[in-house]
Amino acid sequence: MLNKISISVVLLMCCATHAELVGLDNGALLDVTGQGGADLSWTLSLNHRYANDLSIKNISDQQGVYYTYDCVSDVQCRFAFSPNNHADAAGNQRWLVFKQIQGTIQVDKFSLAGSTIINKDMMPQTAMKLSFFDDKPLKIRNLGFTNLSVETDDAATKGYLKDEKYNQYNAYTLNAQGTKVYSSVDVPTFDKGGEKGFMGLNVHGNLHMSGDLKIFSYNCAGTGTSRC
Amino acid sequence: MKKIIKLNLLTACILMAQQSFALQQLTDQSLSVVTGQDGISITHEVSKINIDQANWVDYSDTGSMKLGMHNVEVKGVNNSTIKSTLDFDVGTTDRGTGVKIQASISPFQATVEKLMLLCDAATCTTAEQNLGSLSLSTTSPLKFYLETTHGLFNRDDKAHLDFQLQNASIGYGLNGKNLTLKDFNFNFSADGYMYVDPNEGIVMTTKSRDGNTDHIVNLARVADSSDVDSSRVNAKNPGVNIDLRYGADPDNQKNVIRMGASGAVTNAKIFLNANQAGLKDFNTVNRSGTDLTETIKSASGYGFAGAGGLHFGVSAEFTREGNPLLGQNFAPTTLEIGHTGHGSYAIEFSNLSPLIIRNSTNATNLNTRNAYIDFGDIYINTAQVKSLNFIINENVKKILGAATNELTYYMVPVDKGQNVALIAIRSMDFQAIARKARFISDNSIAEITSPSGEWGLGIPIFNLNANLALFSKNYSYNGVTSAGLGYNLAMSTEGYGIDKKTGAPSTTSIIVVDGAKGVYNEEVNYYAGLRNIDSYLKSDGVIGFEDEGIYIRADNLLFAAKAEIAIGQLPGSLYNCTAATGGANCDNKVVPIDNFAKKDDVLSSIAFKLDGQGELLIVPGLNGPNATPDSNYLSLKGNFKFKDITGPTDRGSFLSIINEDVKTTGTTESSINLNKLQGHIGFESRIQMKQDTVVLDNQVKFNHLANANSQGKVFTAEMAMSPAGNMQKIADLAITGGAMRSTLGITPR
Repeated sequence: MLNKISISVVLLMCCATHAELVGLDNGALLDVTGQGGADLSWTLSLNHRYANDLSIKNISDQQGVYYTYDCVSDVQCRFAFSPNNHADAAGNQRWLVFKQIQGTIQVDKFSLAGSTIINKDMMPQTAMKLSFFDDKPLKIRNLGFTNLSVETDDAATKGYLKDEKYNQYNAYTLNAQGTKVYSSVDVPTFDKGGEKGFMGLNVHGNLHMSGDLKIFSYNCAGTGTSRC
Repeated sequence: MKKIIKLNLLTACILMAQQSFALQQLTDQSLSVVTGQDGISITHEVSKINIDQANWVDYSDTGSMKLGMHNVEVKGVNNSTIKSTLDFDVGTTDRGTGVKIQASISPFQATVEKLMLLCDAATCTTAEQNLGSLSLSTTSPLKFYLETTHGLFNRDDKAHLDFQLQNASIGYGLNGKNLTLKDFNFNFSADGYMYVDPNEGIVMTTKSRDGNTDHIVNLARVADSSDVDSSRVNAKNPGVNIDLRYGADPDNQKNVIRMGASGAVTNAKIFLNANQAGLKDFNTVNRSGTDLTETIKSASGYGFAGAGGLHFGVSAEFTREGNPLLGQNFAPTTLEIGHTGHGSYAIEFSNLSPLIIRNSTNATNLNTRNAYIDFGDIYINTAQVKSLNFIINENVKKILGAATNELTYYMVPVDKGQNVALIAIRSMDFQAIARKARFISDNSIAEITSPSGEWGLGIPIFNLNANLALFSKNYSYNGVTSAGLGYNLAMSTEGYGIDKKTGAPSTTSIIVVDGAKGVYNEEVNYYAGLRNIDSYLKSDGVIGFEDEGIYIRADNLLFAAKAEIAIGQLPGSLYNCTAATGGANCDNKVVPIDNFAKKDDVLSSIAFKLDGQGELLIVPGLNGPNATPDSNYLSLKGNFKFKDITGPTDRGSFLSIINEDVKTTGTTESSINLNKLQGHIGFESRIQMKQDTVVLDNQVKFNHLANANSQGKVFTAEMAMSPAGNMQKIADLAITGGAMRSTLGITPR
């Protein structure tokens, strides 16, 4: 009997010693730091090769980059905006047309978690915490539009579907008699074949952000000077 | 004389011998030998069974409507016979006379060539409709064991039931292609009561009549018999395993989705009767009053359901750790959902809890109720239907701009009505929020050993009502006409209310939950997502099986919903801050238990109405010995065409972002809207389940029929604001075409 007890004691001690000697593995460490939530990665692409071809796995790889313009037809990659029923004297609607609108943005990692804040009434409230990391920048690739133009509807075509390009312009020369002689001349190569418009925009670069953004709800109770 | 004495002696000896034999005491050993001789044992062997027609007659329509299985063939596997055994025994128990029934059927294959909807009266619109084919095969014996303590049906005395349908295969076929439940398990062992009741019909329940005693139904996991990785020991699939595969080749089907449930459930109940009285009754929550408890509203149009039809229900509560019924032998409930096939991953959910964590603002008053699923009342009828009515709630009514809460929709042809099989669900609830989830791998690859962290997911559903009418319908796909399954579906969910049966606050939501321990050493229960989803879906069209995948066409699709984008803590949780950090308001303070009825957590609300027509192709993942989540994934391809605007006052399809402010004078609403959505949009979505990440890859084509020669139909919308109730147009916008792709990777921790 005594033997049995002593064996049990020895066994128990073994267990105890064993437990003490176990080091923290990676998994256990993860458990300690993990507070729920999720790490997110996001890529958004418009009218680029990446957007058109779902078999492409990332916006760039060793074979090349996939954040270049890709559109069946230029006239189909437009965004048009017509504020406040804007129209010409004949009642034809006018549109602000962003031609060849495109862009890819990617952020490899940002985190979503819950957090508790103390609000202005000194009450606890939950906020959505978005964390951004300096080494995981927001990659902006060829974001913008090639041309911005104002187009007006006519009887046949909506303004945003008008397909006019810079190819040739009328130039004149003066002949020996001093008379203007008109001829069609190619526009310079920079603009040749381009869609008509007055300005373009292209943003390309990395936006590094670091820190937490907390988003929480706020109820405008309509009291005092609050404007709601 | 001598002869007579001798005979008498012999008789006496025989009698005495019997007497002494009768007196001999039986040992346990001999009893075990004897039992085989007790009761009835039937062994039956059959090589093949053919049934020309087996019809279920719905007497509600003077018996003219039938749902039948035609050309049924049942045969053994690999040319062997089907052996079935039935042992029947009656014996004395401490409660009375008990019954023991044990049945076993060796592996078999059953096929139903045609599932027919028949109507043989002169007034019928369609005499015969072929709804497709069915098949069932098993690889291990189907076993059934029932042991009662007092009679066969008894409300007050316990019975034990084992049912083992393991690694079976159930298929539904159209045009030679099958949607199959592979490795289907329905494996359970239950204690409870089996009885017949004049109102409820045939009932099996785990709870006693007084409700004080409950028992367990154990959904024991089943050994996986196919495609198991060599590193796996005792690889098992869930006790209820629904593993959907699709394709024409039965040996190489493609992978759709897998769902499963294992562990112990309690307060389970199954009932079956023919009472159709409740078919017309919809539960609904009246938003205008302060009492948010469900009330009944009856709809018209259900007069066809009379004497016939089936009415049944299934419900069960999910157990979690700490439930005293679990004891040492039973594991808590776990649910699984994810992709399937070789090399796939899924997510296992556990620590399932109902919406509210505490019953009051008292920190010690923890809610010990279980999460549960209640399929509500399910009605199956065959009928000739002209129109049906459907009850919607106030929020949906507002989105639809409907005049009343009762919508009417019509079948085709309107004058005579359509012969349909109608499946109706009333008040289905799934109130379960998983506070812990982890990634799991398919048995075909090595197990994931690293922990997945502390996070969970909740997709609770409250008061789901549905009418699904099925009939046969031909359709054309890529210029080829095929036979399909026609459908007409109306479905709704309730955002928030108090459940009539349980009295508990209930919601329809899609939320992620942080199940990690907070400052008070209990689950912090942060949630974020869409909550209180009021929705209504009405669609009719056809389902067809194509080589590429499952084709669903909606000739008329109307989908309206309102939801709140919110972040907060689940009702009844403790605010995750201490008095030291946040002052007295933080000291063990309980989040209001009616938190989901308040606006405190709401960032904004969204509402939308999509009205038009569309096509959807569910493309299953490829199977293969080297398949990975990059090659084996589920994808959805489709397109949607918005319904044309009928006039200047028609708001058409729209999307609203709404801000609701609670003031002393009441709630005011302001919104920014995209109205009069027009165009023809194409989309493709891929859902990739990886080892620790879910990737949602979505592509939208704004004008999907446009090409180099045609401008298609431009996507246009009207932007409007509604600062004080009146809609005011700000601008028109147009997107002429192009493609947008969003790739979102979610790695929980």
